[in-house]
Amino acid sequence: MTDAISYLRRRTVWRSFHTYRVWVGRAIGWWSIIYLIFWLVVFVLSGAEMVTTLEQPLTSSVPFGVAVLVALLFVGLLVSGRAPSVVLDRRDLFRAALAPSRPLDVMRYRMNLRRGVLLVGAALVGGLWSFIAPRYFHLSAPWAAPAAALVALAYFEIGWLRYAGYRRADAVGTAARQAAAWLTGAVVASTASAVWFGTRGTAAAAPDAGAQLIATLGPLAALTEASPLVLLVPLLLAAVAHVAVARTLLEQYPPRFAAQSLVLTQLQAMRTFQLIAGMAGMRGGREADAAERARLLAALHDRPGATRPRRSLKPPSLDQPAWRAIAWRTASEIYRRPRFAQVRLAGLTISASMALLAAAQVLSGAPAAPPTGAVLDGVGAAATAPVTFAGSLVGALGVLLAAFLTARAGAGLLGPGLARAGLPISAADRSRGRSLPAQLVFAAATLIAFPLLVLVRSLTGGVMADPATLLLTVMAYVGLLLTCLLVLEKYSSWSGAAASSWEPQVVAALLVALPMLVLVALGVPSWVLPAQFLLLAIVWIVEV
Amino acid sequence: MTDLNVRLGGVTIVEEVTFSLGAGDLALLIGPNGAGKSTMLRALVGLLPAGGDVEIAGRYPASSEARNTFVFVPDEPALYEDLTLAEHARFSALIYQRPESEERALAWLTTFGLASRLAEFPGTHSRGMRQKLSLALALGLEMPLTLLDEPFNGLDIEAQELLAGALTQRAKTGGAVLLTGHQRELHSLLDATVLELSEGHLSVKAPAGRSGKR
Repeated sequence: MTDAISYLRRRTVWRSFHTYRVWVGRAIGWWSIIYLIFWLVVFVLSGAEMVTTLEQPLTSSVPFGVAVLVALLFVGLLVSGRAPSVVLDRRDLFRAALAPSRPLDVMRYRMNLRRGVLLVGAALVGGLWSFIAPRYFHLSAPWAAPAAALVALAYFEIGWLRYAGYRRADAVGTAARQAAAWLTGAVVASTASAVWFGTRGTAAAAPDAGAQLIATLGPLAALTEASPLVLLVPLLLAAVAHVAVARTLLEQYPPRFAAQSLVLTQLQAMRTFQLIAGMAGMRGGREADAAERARLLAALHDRPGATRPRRSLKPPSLDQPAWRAIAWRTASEIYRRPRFAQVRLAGLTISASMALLAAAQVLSGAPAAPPTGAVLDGVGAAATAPVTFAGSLVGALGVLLAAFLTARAGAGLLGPGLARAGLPISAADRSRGRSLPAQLVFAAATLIAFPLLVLVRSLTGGVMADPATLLLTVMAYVGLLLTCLLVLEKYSSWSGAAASSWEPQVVAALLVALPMLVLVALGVPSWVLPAQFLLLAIVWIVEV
Repeated sequence: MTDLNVRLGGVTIVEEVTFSLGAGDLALLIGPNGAGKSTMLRALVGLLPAGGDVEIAGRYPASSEARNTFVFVPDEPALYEDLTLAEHARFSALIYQRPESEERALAWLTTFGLASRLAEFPGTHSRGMRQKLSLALALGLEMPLTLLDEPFNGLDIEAQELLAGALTQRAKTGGAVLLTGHQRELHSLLDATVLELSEGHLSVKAPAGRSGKR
């Protein structure tokens, strides 16, 4: 069976590598890569030359703090282990894992890949420490790179042991859990003793030999000690953990490994798609994907929500118009998102409401206060303007920024796109249905944003609009909000670009701020508010 | 298999299903879409955690002894895009430690009309051709138990008849075969015991060939 796996990996890995090599050569070009590497080396060398030895070393407690932190990471493993750190893809699962092959042979390649990445990463960090330790801490740490690599390896192996023993009653599971517990205990105990004797040794004028020896036996003693003995404990930990991991894969896979592999490969595919979409300048519909991601995570841990929704909104009755169905569809999608995503979106919407309220004040010509913090950056500057200042470029840019923030929040509230072709609905129905939930959420957010803005204004010594201009401010706010949401919806539907991508958001922000930008430049700021309503009417009427 | 239970995300998919399959049995598992046929098969081979007692050749399905007695063909072919058809046959023979199965798999590929495509990657092939490769590998192995999930999907009429003949022959020569599918399309092809899965429960129907519907 090992021959079969070797045969498979020889061909598939080599061919994948060859394909990747050809792709890199064509897409980027090897001369470009050599050029980049050359400059990378130059920058690294010049950066290294800039690191000079400090006359007074930095505090010597840093390496001990790092050692304790790493020990805590190991302790954290004891409460984890629900999902595998390495998975098989669908082909390996059906072709290799179901065959009478040893799980260890099938898993070896993917585990070694992960080990390799960890080893290289940890060795680089350790090497960096070896370089800076003599200069910044006046410590000699020549073994930090291999020690860090071995500790990272042990961390990976213990993580797998935890998974292999997670809620598993058979002998293999029990042995895996026990091995993980013993190894973690060994890490904690050796770290504690090494830190204890190490700190005492640092403080003492002449540390005794026994204390010195114990200090070298911590997993990360290589951060402070120059003796090759510092590799002993990391080597033992990694070796024992490695053997224990091999023992968990001699006969069977962990009980939920296949099912979880199938789910995790889907999650990985989703992440890859989002990464590619992000590289292409799109946010990749992350909000819309959140519900599917939550469903897959529920399937991963076999929780409710894997096969049916946990939250539902009552659908409209059958005699309702089409736009109500579209609104229900959008609202359901928002309602079924994970709580964390909803809270994040609520925060963004409240921030956008505050910014838009401040922008509405500028439009209505109300006096306001000085800048009011991060949320109102830019807009705050605009809102500082007295009536005569409302027509300034700063005010217009503030409106632009507020509109952009509103478009960002609105994009998360428009829900999935709706292709009208083939459906007996009008563009107006689509826009109305898709934007209604966003309007309602913004209305609710305004109830929070308004008192917050009043509070912020009072704290910074400013005032909100007086009753005389309050109505104008509210009208301007509603006008700005509706214009922004409608432009965002209509433009994204017309252009085919997802509302979550930058393009429709920038267009919406620019169009909303257009009256102010143009009329201020023409020197007629008093026409801004009427022009804003005229723009809303045009956007409302145009059917796309 | 006794009292098989499969629950996904707190929802019961298969409930207290009991049946056994012996040498020479050919069973067709039918049921409406979403009845849990694929889920049951996956639980049977250990791909999904399940409650109850499931044994293949007297062993837990995930054990290597049990895996040495069956071959499973999923509903969607699981193929390596960077192995050719011939290399798939070699790999299959190697991993199941059945050297003679390579020739048989290649013969099945020839029977399915893929002889001229042996040096090609399956990624360039249609759904039906990929399904034929998947089936040829399983048929070539001639394992004591053959489990097939919707094996007739995507096959042309000629291949469907070939497959039905092969499965019937496999049962006649002492192998056990369990496949899923839709009754209407398979009644005319197979002489199998029909197991119906509905709302998570299994019931045994009369053998299709004796029901007079052929």
